[in-house]
Amino acid sequence: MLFNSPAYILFLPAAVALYWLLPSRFRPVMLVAASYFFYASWNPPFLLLIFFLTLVNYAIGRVQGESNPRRKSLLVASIVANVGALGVFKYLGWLDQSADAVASLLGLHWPVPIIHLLLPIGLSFFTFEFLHYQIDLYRGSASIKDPIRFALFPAFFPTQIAGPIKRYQDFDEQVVARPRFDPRVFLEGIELVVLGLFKKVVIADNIGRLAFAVFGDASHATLIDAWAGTLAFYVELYFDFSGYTDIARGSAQLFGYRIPLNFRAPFLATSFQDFWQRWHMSLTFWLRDYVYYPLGQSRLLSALRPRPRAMVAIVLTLLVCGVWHGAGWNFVGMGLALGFSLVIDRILTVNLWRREMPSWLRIAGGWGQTQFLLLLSMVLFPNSIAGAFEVYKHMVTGGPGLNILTPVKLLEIVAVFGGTMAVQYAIRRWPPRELIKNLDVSAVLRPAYAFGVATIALYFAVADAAVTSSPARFIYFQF
Amino acid sequence: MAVDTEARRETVAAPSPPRVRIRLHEEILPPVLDGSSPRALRNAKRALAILAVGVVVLQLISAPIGHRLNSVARSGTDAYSEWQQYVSRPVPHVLVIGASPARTDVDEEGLGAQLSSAIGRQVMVEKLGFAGQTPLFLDALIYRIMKRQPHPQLIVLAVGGPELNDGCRACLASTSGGLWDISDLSDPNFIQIALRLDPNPARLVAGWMLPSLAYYPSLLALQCIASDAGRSAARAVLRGVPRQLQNPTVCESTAAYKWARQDSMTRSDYDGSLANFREFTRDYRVSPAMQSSLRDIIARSRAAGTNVVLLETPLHPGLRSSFPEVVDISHRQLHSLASNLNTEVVDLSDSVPDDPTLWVDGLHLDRSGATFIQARLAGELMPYLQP
Repeated sequence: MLFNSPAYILFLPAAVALYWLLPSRFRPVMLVAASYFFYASWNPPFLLLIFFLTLVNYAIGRVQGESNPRRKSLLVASIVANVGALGVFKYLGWLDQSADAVASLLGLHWPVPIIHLLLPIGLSFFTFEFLHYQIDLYRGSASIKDPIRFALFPAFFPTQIAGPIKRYQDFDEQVVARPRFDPRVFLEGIELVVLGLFKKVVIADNIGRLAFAVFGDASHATLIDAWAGTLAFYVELYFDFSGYTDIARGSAQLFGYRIPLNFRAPFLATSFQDFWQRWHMSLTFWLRDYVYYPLGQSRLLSALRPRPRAMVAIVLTLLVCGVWHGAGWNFVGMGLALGFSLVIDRILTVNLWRREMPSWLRIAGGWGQTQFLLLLSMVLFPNSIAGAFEVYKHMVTGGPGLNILTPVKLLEIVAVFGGTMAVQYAIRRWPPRELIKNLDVSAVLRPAYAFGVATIALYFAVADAAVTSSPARFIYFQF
Repeated sequence: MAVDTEARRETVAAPSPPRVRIRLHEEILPPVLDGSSPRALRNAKRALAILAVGVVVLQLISAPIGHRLNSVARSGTDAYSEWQQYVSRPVPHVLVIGASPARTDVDEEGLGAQLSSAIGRQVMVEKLGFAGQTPLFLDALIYRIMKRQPHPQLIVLAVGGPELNDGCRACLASTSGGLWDISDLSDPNFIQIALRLDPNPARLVAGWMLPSLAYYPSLLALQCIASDAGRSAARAVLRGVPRQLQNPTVCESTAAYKWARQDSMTRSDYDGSLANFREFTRDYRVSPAMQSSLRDIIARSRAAGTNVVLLETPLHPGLRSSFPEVVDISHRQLHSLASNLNTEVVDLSDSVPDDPTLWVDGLHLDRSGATFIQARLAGELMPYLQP
């Protein structure tokens, strides 16, 4: 059940209505049931996997604690269970294929047959939530005793498929408090759902076609085609995933829950470090807390001096980030590219964009450097290694003019990117909701906004359906 | 990696968590809602109330607006318009029903005149052709046709290859849309039949309950209305239509639109129908549900005293030679089904030559094409109308 499918448009209001009609003590149970139904609508047998992982993590969580002498063993057991599930379903086939390819190169026979496993949707996300739970318990946080409350944490359907990655303390606090109907939260939820739908259907799906056209025919791309196609993919990825996140956050708010943010105007980032505080934030801060800090403090890197240690920890963390995104050598490459880009960005920030420079120059230079390095790293996301090198080749040696895109399409890409930056800047400076919330006219403007945006999104959805027979998937759908 | 909330700060120390945090997971939590303003709360309540009223009003107006827009999009050949026109006229002697070729391949006035002169009495012919519909929908349609008194003397059930295919997803998906348009929710039997026939009964029920869900696809017609308005304005102001507005709209690309307006089939029309045929006949298999519906259609009609004959509609020679296996399988299966159901097949599948002036595209005849097969069709139907 995709967020942009008619089935979800039916499922969500029905679930919301039932939820608020029930007495508050039954609402968590109802949400767990609805979430399992949502998960089963994709592939019922995989419900067993989420059941199993929930059961294992709940059982370990019940006995885990600072006073338990076997706390480290329990932590290791939980990590093995969670990372093991992720490893088997997500990485086993890839490792097997890679080993087979290496063996073929060496003229050897790889005895294991090629494994093809279907990746359960949301697995990468809820295993990270389980890992966070177990590590925090190990560090001394209190466990969730109630099995329903615990089951709801990973299963909560708005965040089940592609996050945002929740922290259990924040989420469970809300479950315990039993959210009461708050019109402001509900209204904001509706606005987020329609905005997310708009971002996905109107912008991401349309600009994504331009990226696909370039990457699908990279050998004929000119220099401008190659750069513009990459920029189109960057824009598509942002609108696709931030659209998804908006629908997830909006859906959660319809049940009274407020879940983490994932994006904070990333196109305005003026350094790589700044970018990671604006892009897929729930993953970034998860990696910071559970990979970067532990790596930095580990004995593994203790022989290094502080600065090289930080750099190595950054590269390794972003390598994990890359591999988390997918089982493929392109994702390994993307992780390394992002890691080294962050290191380069830091070096340049200290040595090139000095504090004594005019601030506008530092900001402009930092912004250009960040976006340039990001675009180079992004090429590896949708392409194979060979495909990415083809794009890189044309980014440097491509001929003049345009071959795949037209001037209008090029203008469209640049206008969407530039327009988004302008809108994000304006919204952050003058938040429209803050500006109008005390004006009586907001009671009319906000519904008008919701209806208007929903109508435009539905129109584009229909226009797309006239061309394609099914709604386009979210890029982060099967993670 | 992010190590500090201050964006531009350079960290050279080994990574370690900051000692003091204002709020756990502050960095990713959504901003706290301002709860101090009663005015903001009151405005939010009012906005929600307006939204709720808007949603209810939307349900009330969705169906009429949707019917109007669908009619624009399909040049008056959407299921609702077809059905309304049918019930507004006297019951015909001969009724041709089926997917869109039932409408494009039959010239009902010419056929009626020919049958009348041959038989020596007034024979009225009507046609009901529904784009992309399968026997599943036609089964429900026949129920509604036979509820109306008196009944047609002969039902000509136009079936070709694609609409019998269980693998034609687009055909199956269109069932709910057709059923919404011919629904009679005051008739429990119709509801029961529709629920049994629709491959997606949950969607059907949702559309009945929330018409906005059923009719939002009609928004596509706004494109055509806007384009027409733009052309009119351009003609008035510029005394001509700019090139950008000359491209055919989605409404002008339908077979129904081209049927009476286009002199001959273009290359792109043919190529489009070739691609559609390939898509519609993928994984070709006549499903048990389709067979069951065909059986029900015939049984229901005969129970009401109406004869049924199957009509295999013309298929462009180019398509026939491009997909010989599919054409052969569908032809044999149709004849085998007819034999099992004890009914006849009027086979016009290869009766029209490769002459672009006779075709809208590879699947539909144009007005000249319909006239071209008229005499042969009349001859085939005549025995069923003899007293």
